[in-house]
Amino acid sequence: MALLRAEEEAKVRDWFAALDRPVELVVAVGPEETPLAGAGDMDFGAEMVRLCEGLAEFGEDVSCRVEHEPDGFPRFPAVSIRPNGRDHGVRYDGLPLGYELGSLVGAVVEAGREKPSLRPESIAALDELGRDLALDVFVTPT
Amino acid sequence: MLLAYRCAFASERVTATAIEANEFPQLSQEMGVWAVPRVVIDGEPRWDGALPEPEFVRRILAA
Repeated sequence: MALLRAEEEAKVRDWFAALDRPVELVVAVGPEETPLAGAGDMDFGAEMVRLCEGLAEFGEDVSCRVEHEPDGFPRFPAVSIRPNGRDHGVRYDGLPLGYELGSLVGAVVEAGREKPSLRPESIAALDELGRDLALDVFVTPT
Repeated sequence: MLLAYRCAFASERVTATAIEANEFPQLSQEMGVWAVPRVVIDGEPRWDGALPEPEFVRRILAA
């Protein structure tokens, strides 16, 4: 089954072709928590690999690597989005299905920018941050 | 979600993880996830729902 509809794939290819720098997707697979009822019999790890390898085919500067139970990943499957192969602590834990696939694509596009797309005043405010800060955002596929 | 990612790429101090709530029900229960997106900062649930960028940044810096 195709990852995206033809018109969506064309857009993603355009976005990935315009990246300023390479982006690596590091997929972490390992033991999975039992999901809520209704998730079916899906092999989430295998599907995550298929999805990320499929995305990597849409752009020369996007690559995908799979690791089994790597250190630093509390949940599986997960994907780390790495500009120039460098870990910025940007992850998606679980399978980004439906609308959430857009979040992963958006993360790749943002990772591929040399300059962040935030407003200058937001960047200036974040530059003043005096401590580390971990953001977790719970989402569901829609 | 994208705003959190943008903040993480813009700042070495910030990390951002999207967590698919249905796949990790135990953690979701611990974080009291009833609506999404639910934003958790340093392990503490903070708010539900999307926000415009200025308010999002203001809230995470105030956390």
